[in-house]
Amino acid sequence: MPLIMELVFSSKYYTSYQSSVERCFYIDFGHKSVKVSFCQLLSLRYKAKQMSSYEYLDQLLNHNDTVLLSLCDKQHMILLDTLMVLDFIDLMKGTFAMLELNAVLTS
Amino acid sequence: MENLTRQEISINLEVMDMLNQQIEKEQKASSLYLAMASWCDQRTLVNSATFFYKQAEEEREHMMKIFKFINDTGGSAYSPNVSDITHEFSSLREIYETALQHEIAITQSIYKIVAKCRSVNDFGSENFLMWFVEEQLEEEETIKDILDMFDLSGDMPLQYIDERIPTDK
Repeated sequence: MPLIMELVFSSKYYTSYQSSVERCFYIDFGHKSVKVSFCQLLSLRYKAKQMSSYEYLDQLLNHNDTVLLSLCDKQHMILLDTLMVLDFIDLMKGTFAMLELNAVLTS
Repeated sequence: MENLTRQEISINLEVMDMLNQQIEKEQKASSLYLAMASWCDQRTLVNSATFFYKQAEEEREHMMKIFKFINDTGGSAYSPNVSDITHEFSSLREIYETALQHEIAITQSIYKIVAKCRSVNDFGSENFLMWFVEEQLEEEETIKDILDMFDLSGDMPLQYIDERIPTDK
């Protein structure tokens, strides 16, 4: 991970950072840290939104309880259980809320 | 912290989400009009079929316009998944009534996005949507005129009404 990073948001298991020098973001999944561009971050936000529906979570909880999440144009794969999925959704919501807040404060 | 987000994307994220939903609505309208065109074509209602083939193309163009706008402004457009398109209609009049209801729903949806743009000061997206506001009013008027013609024609044969459907809009 680069030295100059600014914390964006921390959920229970995961943390997001911004690297203004590299003009990208990092997500720390605990066992590994993943570098993501803004459009890849948008893609993760979209996935989190899709995973937020009641139908999706009901299916996940009552059937397999695990989901394989592919990141950054399929460069990484992360295995999540239901609690981790809920935490990942929190991370995305919190990350974009903080980025929006930052945009307000810097404008 | 440097505002990287603003440097990457020019539109508001909530507006982007609503535009992505609009993409799905426009694509659904396109598919519905295609189903209507098919119904008309099978019954040799030539002008109505032509009318709905054109409508289907127009709705797809609307969808593409929004799709390109999202990507051009740094956002992420998502290809819509459209299902549950009905192919069953009981009459030509019902088809036009359904089309009008659909156009009104699309207009209302555009208005909601414009209202959102205003509330978050996303003037770029609002300006982009002004074309759609005008276009929707025209679309509604065209179909209302056709339904008026149904009323005026009384019990005339369908072929008589179909011959008067505008195909050059």
